[in-house]
Amino acid sequence: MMGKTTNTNYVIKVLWPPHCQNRGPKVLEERADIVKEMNGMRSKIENFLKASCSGHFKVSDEYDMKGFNVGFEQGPDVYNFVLEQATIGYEVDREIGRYNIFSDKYIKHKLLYTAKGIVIG
Amino acid sequence: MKKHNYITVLGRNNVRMPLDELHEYGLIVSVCNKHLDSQYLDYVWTREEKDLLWFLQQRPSPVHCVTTPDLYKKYVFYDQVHSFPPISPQFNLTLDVNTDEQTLALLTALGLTEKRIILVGFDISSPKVLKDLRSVIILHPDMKFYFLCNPPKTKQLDYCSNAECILFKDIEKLK
Repeated sequence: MMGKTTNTNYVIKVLWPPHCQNRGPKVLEERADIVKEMNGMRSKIENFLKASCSGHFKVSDEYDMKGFNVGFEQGPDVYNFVLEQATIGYEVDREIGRYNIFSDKYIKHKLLYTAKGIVIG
Repeated sequence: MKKHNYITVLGRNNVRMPLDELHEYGLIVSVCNKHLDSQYLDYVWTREEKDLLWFLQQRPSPVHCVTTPDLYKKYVFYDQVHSFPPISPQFNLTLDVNTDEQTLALLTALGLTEKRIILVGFDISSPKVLKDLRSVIILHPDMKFYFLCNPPKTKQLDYCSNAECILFKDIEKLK
């Protein structure tokens, strides 16, 4: 999980498409098509965030076999981002990191989709 | 988050000083009290959902609320809603539904400050509140606690070396 950067109160992971997940660096060196798809997805998400977020956000460029982290300043932006998964065509991990003012750390919570909205478990 | 040097905790009793003056002594953490001027409250401990919503709807800006794990689950996407992290087992307090909200406001302040806590309007008539307050004071020897009151000074905290009772008229010396 990324460390606390200015204005990042929430961290959520966007999953790579299934066929791009769990690919080690060696495989990625040989599969330019997959790398292109991963980079394309990252750009698409970044563009969507630029258009939809009212607060600060940060797309992490650290390599992860499962997906990439996105940090948000404002809760409503995160909520909207989770809601729009199906519309825009991405999937977020079922876990969210929320910055805790007392421990100065991100605490992970499980996301729950309920009839009354998205909450944590 | 950078911790603050000084914090004032408002308890259940009437606060006998204007909040704007009190704010000069540091951030203010309060129990849920809708009669206080919310513009001077930095954090409020709230247990009830209706109170949480009330403080979130204050203008010009919402008041930061620290709340129960259950309410936090529902309001996690509200930037002004916070919750305690899992409590370390070495911390000698049992937090449950019966824990007094003054104790919880005090714990909120403890998590946000590193030097000094001023207790204002803190009601220690309940033995449980007093016991919890003493536990907190003893467990944090590096923190200085000031208990503000009107004469006569309480003797209840006399044997805590890091706690001192101060009269309201002498508050200036804490500046």
